[in-house]
Amino acid sequence: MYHKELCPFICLLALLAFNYPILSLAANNLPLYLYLSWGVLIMVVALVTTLRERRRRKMG
Amino acid sequence: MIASWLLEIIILCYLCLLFFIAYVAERQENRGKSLVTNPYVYSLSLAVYCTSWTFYGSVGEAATSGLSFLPIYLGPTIMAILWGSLLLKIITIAKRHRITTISDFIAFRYGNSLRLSALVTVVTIIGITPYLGLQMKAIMSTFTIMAGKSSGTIASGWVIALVLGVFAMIFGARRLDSSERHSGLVLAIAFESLVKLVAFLAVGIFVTYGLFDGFTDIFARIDNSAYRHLLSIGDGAAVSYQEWASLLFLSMMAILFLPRQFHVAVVENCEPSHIAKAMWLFPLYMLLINIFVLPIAFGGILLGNSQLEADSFVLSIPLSQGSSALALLVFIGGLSAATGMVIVESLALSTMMMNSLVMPALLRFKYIHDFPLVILNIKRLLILGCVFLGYFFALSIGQFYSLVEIGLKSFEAVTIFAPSLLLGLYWKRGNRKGAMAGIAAGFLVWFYTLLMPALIRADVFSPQGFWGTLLTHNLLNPHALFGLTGLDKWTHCLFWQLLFNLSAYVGVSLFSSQNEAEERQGLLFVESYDANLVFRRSVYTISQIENILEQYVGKSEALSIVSRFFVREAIDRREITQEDLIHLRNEAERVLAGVLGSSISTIIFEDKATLTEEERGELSTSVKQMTSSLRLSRHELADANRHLAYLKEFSENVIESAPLGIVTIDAGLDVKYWNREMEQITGVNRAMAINQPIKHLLPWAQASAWIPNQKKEMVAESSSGQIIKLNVSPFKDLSGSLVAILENITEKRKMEESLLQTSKLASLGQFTAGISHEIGNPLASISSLVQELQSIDLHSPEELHFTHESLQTINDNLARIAKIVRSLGDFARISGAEKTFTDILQLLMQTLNLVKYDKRSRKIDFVTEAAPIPLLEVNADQFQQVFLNLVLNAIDAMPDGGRLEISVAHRPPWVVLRFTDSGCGIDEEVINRIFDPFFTTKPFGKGTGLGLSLCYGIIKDHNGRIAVESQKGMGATFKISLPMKKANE
Repeated sequence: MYHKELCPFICLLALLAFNYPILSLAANNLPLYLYLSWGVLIMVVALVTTLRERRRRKMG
Repeated sequence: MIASWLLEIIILCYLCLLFFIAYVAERQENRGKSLVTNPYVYSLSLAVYCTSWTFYGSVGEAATSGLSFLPIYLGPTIMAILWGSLLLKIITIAKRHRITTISDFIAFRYGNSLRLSALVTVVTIIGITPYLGLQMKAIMSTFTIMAGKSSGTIASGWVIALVLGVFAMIFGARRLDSSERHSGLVLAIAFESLVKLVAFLAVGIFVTYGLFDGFTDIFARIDNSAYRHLLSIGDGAAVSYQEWASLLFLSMMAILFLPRQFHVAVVENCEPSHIAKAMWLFPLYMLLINIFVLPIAFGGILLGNSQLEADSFVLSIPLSQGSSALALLVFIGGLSAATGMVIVESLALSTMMMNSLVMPALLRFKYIHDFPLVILNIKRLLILGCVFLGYFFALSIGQFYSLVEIGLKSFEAVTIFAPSLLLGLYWKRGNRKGAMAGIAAGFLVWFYTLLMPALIRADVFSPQGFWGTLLTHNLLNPHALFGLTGLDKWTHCLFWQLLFNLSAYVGVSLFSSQNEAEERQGLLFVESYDANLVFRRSVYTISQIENILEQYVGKSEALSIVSRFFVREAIDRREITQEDLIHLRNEAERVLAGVLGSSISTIIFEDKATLTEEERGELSTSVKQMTSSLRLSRHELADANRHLAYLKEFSENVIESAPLGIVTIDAGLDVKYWNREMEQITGVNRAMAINQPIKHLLPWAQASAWIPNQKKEMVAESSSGQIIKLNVSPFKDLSGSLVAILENITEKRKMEESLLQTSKLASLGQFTAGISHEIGNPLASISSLVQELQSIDLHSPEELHFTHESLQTINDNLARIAKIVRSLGDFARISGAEKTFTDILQLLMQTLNLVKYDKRSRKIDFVTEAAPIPLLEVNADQFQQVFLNLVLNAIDAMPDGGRLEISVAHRPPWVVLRFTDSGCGIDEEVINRIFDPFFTTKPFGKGTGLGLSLCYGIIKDHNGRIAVESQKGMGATFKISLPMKKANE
């Protein structure tokens, strides 16, 4: 999957993850779910952008 | 508690520190050592998003409404994922056209509409001023808490507002061009972001681990208390899923459209590649600053503090626990959060007001004395005005609302721009009328549903009478417009605002037409057209452009802008073309856009245009051509893209299929392209070669081959013994990149050597018959003498004398034969392909001596005239062949005898050799073909037609020239010019 499509896809997943009804599934420990998924989302974006930059540098 | 005077000193010291940091950053920038050109400072500067609302308000919100503070930070995190395309596009357009504010950006999209720009500015001022007031309110409230009394707070607030205004004036409005980066301001903001993060983490750790036993302890206690609803969303919680979603959406829009965010993210961006790191560093910052929000809020409640004072928990908890130092750190952190926002927001707002409201008014006064200084001072006053506007808002109606309440109103206000800006980036059809209708409709809904109740509550409007009747009407209730109930006020406003806004924007755009400027800008935004590609006939001369610039930026700056343009584009002022003038005009327009705003800049250039009838006609034609070319449909563009892809594939195929090694190298001499033939020649595959230094990959090539912007051609032997011809050329764009073409000429060289050998043998064959008698005569003499010697009496003294004389004659004849055979052997032998420094004159004399054995040369009078010449770097074998061919041809041209004059002259930097015969000459009709291969005028079987062709090739290979002058019956002259190269070069 190209980066151009990957980022909107991650954005869509994030929107789903931080909205009803997914939030209602984590109702028992909502703060933990929100902060953990927030951290995971940041890591995913960092991974994607870092790999893309590395590939771009390699390709020149 | 800390004394008011001490607090004031601390605040002033902190602000002085900010001044110092900004000063150092600007000084380093001027020295060319930027402290802010990195993604970390860029990400930290983006954290100006986290204001006192984050610092104090989030805890207040968490203590009263639970998790509802989180969408304000989750929204930007989600939006940041799209920055790689969305923000990049905005930055690219803004940088290209020196757009400095969001109002200019929207106006530029819709044909540089001044009215639209003014509308956006008015909406922003009304929407954002409360937000500015919120910061001033936070500073004054926390000052009161720290000092323990409210006296002196208003005066301190006034002083702080003044200092912040001065700071923004000094570091934000020092120069006219607003599009220039403000490195001092950016570093100060980044520093403030660090301070507020450290302060918040410190108080978080203090509460979580100092007053309680960590997160688990606090959350367990809240879970077992009457406040457990603060841990959830939806039914029974303080925040519904619906409100949560609305807040998420509002904050996603706010991170793009808040004026200060636009300023730091777009205007202060120095390198678009920094976006990639900011996409996760900025969300990481927000995660860190929010980690302790819930523990502090819950800690405050568990410690018995009132929820009504939750906005100040961050400060009141350390104070109540007797930790004054921590409280002071928190106070400075909060001050950082508020001041950063005030500085950037007032700068952004003042630029908007300047470009959209003040400049159009000033433009009416065309000849204001010292115009640049006037506009700079007006901008400074506007900055100060914005700061004090916030200050007075905080004093008047700020007290009626919480921090979050005021902040969200501003978020709702900037969301009004979302349809016009976001759809404008991706929908060409959207036009100015649609954008104005949408923004106006959205603003009216926002004003009526959110601001009106606030104004009534602050007694600006009376709740009785007309307004009372209107607001309590079933259909016009601002919290239940048209009878819509069940929505929280944020969702309610967002729903109606977006509905009216979108409907008006799309509807009006569909039912009204675009003018040409709007159409062009639509293409520019949606299809990313380069405005420079659109032909526009300039009607300005260089001096006219200088005059226009001079009026707005001053004479020296105007001249500097124009001369910088000439230097950058490498254009000679005296030889400027029409196209260059267009580029100069565009550059001037962009510079003015940075100073005055894009709309005003366009108006100035349009207004100045004075066209003749002819020019008007041409302009009209070019506009028509431009319009028709701009009306490319998506299908046509798709076709063009397909064609482009085909061309790309085709050119790649050509490069990959070529029997030549092709490699491109960047200015750092690293390989960027390596074709298939290069793999064959070097044995190094493409993946291994890319980004590697060319000198490591081709160690056998001379280092001088890789000098940027220089052409080089050389032949070298590779490590594997191949003979490689290397041709290096610079790229046309003067970037320092090079393209090298390598040809394996090993086989070609072998064939050339073979051809030379064959040619030599053919030459030998030609004059072997001629010199046979040279050997035959001495042999006959030897034979007769031997016969005589066999018959004589060896004991007779007379015969002894004859014997002695005969043997001497035989010996002489044998020596003569040996000399001839040795000469032939020397000539036939190939000594090698190398060029060595050779005495050309000696080579010529050896050849002449050889030829003189030919009996045909007896009738020829050889005349040589030679000046002293240096040694030349030549291949001796090849040149002997050249001389032999020319001399033999001359002899053939003089069957009845004649004269062959050979002269050698020194004409620096050349050595010139002339072979002039008195033969039959060359027919004018064939003289142009004599160097062609296989062309001969000799009878069949007498010549191969390769002799002169070979001479031509050899001379060319030595970078020399060969020419012929002749007339039929008048003899011929062959002139050879060879370049000199000293032996030590």
